Amino acid sequence: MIVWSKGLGKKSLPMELDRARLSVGDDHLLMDGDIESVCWDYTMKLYPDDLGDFMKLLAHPKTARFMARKGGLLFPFVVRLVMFAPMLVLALFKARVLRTAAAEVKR
Amino acid sequence: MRFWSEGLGKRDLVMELSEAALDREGEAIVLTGTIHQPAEWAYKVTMERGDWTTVLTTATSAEACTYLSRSVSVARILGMGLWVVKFIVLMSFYRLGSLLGLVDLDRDAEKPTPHVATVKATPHGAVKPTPPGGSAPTTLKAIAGGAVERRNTA
Repeated sequence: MIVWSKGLGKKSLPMELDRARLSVGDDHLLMDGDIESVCWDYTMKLYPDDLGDFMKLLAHPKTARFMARKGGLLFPFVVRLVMFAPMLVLALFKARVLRTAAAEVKR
Repeated sequence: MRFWSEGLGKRDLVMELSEAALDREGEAIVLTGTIHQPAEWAYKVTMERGDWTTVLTTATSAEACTYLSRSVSVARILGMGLWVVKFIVLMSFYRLGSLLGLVDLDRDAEKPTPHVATVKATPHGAVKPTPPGGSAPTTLKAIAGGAVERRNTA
């Protein structure tokens, strides 16, 4: 991914996203790593809206058409998704139970 | 999305991805828009196929699962799920269409031919259309990228 903004002047920042570290913050998902060409650290904080927006951008016909040019992506993604969905349901259930228990303890 | 890098000092670039314009440029998808914080700056994010693959991997990672269950409402997760379903349907449609030779997947790729606009001007600079059978004026050719070519067509 290459990021450029007016605030960076003529410099653009090429990042190897697949090498970024991923962690969970209080209210965001954090990706961080370093930009090799300039030896700068970078962080990207993704909030709930951003995740939704990324999914929306992925579902744009231009992106889908671009991604469909080569094979080997869809099947592995669907497999990951099939594994991910039950994990997410369980995690949501666990989070809800813990929240309810914490509320009961407060009472 | 908040982006920070050492080169930006203490500033974060706050990008509203929902307002980004999306276009295909060769072997990448380019997102463009305006950052509202710390200033009204234009931005451009170039994402290649590998970057989108990383987005998909990130979205289905254990970290994303923890984050979604802790900080995101069920309604929002379902909303994201609908976009994912749309992506899978579109991908399947385009992939199948391409294999059957029914869909041109390079339709969005930018064509390399520059946009050439021809402006005809009088020697005094006032632009007016060439009169039929009139004297040949100076022709200015504005080529995409800002270069201007001046030609005397007389």
